[in-house]
Amino acid sequence: MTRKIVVIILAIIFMIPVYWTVISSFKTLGEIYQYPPTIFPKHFSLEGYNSIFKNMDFIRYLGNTLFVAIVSTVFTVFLCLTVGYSLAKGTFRGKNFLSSLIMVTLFITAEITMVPLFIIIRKLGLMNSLWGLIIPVVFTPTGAFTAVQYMKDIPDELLESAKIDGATEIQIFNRIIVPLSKPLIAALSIFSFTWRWNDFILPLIVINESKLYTIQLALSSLQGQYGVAWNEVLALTVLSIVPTLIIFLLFQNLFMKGLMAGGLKY
Amino acid sequence: MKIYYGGKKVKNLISLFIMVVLLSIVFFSVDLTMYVGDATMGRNFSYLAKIYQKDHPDVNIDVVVLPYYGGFMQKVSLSIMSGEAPDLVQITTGYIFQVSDYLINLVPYVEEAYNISAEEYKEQLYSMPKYCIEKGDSIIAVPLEYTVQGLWINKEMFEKAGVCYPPSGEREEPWTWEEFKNALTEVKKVNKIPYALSMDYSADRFLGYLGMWDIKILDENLNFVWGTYENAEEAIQEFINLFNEGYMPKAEWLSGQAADQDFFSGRTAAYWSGSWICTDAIRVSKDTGKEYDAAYLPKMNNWFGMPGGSFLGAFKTGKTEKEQAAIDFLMWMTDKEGGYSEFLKYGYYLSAYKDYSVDYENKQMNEWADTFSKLGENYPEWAVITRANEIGSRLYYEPLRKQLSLGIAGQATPKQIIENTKDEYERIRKDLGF
Amino acid sequence: MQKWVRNRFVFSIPSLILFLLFTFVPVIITIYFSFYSWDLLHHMKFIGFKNFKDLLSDKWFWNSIFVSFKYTFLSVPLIFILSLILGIFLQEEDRFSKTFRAFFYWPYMVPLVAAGTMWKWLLSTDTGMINAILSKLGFSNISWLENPHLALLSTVLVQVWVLTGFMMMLFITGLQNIPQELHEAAIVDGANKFQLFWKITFPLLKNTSVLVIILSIAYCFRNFTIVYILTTGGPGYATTVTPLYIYQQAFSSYRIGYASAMSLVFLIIVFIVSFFAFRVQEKESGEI
Repeated sequence: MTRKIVVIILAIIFMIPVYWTVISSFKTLGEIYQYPPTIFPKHFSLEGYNSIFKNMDFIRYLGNTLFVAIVSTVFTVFLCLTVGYSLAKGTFRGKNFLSSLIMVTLFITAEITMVPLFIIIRKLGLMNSLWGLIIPVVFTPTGAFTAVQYMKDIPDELLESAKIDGATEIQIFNRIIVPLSKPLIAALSIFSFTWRWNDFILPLIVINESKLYTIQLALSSLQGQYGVAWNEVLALTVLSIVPTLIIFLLFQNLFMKGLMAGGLKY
Repeated sequence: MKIYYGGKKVKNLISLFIMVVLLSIVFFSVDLTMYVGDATMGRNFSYLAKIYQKDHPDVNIDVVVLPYYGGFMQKVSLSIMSGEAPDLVQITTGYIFQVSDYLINLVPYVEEAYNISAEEYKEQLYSMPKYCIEKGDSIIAVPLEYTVQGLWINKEMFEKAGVCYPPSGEREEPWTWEEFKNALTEVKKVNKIPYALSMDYSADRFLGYLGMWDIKILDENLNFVWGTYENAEEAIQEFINLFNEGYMPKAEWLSGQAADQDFFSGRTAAYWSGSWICTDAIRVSKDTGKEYDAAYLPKMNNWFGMPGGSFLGAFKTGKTEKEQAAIDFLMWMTDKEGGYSEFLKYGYYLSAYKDYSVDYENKQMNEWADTFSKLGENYPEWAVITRANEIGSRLYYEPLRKQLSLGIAGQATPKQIIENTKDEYERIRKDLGF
Repeated sequence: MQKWVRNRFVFSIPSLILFLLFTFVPVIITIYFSFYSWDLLHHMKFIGFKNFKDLLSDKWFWNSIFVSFKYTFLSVPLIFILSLILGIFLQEEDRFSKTFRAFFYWPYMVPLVAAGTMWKWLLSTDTGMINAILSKLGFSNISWLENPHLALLSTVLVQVWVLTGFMMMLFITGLQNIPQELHEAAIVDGANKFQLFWKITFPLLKNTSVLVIILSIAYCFRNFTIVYILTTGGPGYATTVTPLYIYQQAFSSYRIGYASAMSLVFLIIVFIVSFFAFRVQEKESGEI
């Protein structure tokens, strides 16, 4: 019981800014500027949302962002599972070196490698295309590192016995590793979707036409030189949070259920 | 629809004709890309592009809005560097000098379009836009909106305190600095608000303030002269005192607290900003019923509102057809009978042409336009040259305002602020190879 | 080729190619840039080691490293403890847990710029909600973002708020991997809750813990958006973390070469420190 109380209190604290944003997105611009700020909108208004739908091709941007996020996630999960397996259970010589190398790159800020990344993306012909938002980031050090740590917990005995039974590596991967990694897959899917959904540096340097805008790029362009349309920023922020929330709730259910039903036998 | 002369043959001919026209629009249609640094301006341009398309159906203009403070110049620089510059760019006084080498020379087109020489064309403009669009003998861009710094007033609060602000019947002359501070003190006291004045965390505003003291940071030859003024440190200290004595909220310059929010929410009664707030002021007024007014800045050794604005340029891309289409659009935009008047009216912008103004069909806006015009009329030449140049772009935006912020935080004395800025100036000069 | 399948190297190949292209090569290019002076718009000028010499005497660079360390090592323990507790509380697959996980993960899902802006409003000294409530209760305004110490704590607060949910998910994944039987056996043997945690659960969470700590440290060192939005690095340079300083040098001062040199030095420093922290942690957990 205490656990539930603690969780609820913390959850309330955590949700204050989000509540604040959602509530404010339903205020008029004038009320947003008011002081003291009102906890509940005096006049419930959809003007921020209307403005967004009127002035932007929101559905198209939504489509672009969904495409990038979903396709990336599929590739990312595949890449993380494979590299995780390789570095956690592999026996090749450069294994530790490669792991360390990946770990080092965890510390690199995207903003700083912006210019070199731009040069490479351009050379590969990925400029001004949604694939330019997918391919450069589909391998993520964070995801790889997570997968490696997770896979280290898979008992070697399982793999050994499978090999003795004559299974090929591919079979081991498909029949043992993947099923056992269901929570990892769920976690990686949620993470990858979130990361791609929230990318704003890469779209800025890759995209040159408004047809290909992602939601984050549209959101950051609302902060203009001559002022910020706060009601629109709030509305678009709220709209941009909803899909990731849906994905989170969906994936939670799909993969995490029945994990222990399989059971890991020692 | 039936056509009776010659029946089928004519029908086929007409269909063929229509198809040819449509196909030619598709095949010969030109797609132009325009980079813009402000969402509202982007929408205004989309609106104008639609008007332009009515007469030029073969031209599509894609208005790409980029975040001004979060990547506009990076994107433009990267585009230029990679040889994929956009066809058109809306660019401000702060940045035009960085890209001037890459813009098309518009002199022949201006002369052709208006039957006047390039000189005559430039003479029509205020000296700020004129200075920014010329590069040697070339004209590298056409002016869009003209902006002037000015003071915004919360009418209700000033009336309650019984303080008249210029320009008005009771007070036509601008305040002196002392009178200004007294007015602010009175308004703050009567209305029981924590502060009196808001100012964006912007080096540009500070330059406007320094301009009142008749102090230059760079001179016309781009030498660093700030330290040569006797009252340079006094001016800085007086600015810092505005924060220390409670006139302005420190938060605005220490952590970038939104000054417009402070003003529109009533935490301050005045806002040292400029003509670009007109649209917002009208908007908030409509929503909240509060009334705002534009007023004169105080007068010291000088009196003027620092000018600014943005421009429309076409990049040299080497694609002749696109370049031509871009230039055509440019010429239409700057034509007072073409897109220019519509642009000003739609966006509540001030005209960059000295003897040309529009009726905004909004009483308030027309009054405000007058006030800003007055403020924008008598700035000294040096205010233009010393502010709008390559060194200035790099020196003012981040380094200068950061130094001032350190001063307000008590971590730097006015003397140190000047010295540190000088060091940065020298480094920039070396980098640029002067 | 056969050998590569046997020692499982082949599974790394797709990732390796992408890693080299998009992570490794940019670093090499950055190293290249660090020997030049470049502003993106004009020609690059070779200047040898000058950038590195300059940064040695750049007091704001070293200040930013100090700030980055403060920022990271204040945030990481808080994130670790909070996410561990939440992970333990919400590891079951019951309705309550599944619903409430979303509340803690949601901050991580919010785009970083939006998260920063939300908090900036709440914490705004003169127009923010928190101070509005405080003044209603009779307290005076607190300068959350202007007092140098409070400003740093505010950025830490937001960082913790953002990352805890993510780390909680990692802990849950790790916790769910601990076989039930172990717990059941221990309970049968008479272990209480406390012993259960320290002797069984926590040691088995070693890999997850390492992951959480390293990712948190990396994330905190890397991140600058939160600080940028909340305080723009102020007051003065009190909250200017190194990535922010580098960014300002690169794009406000147009010094790509200098920024590249700083990035390299920062990367090396940060990695060395984290490496040691990691080693120490490994040694300690090995002794349990």
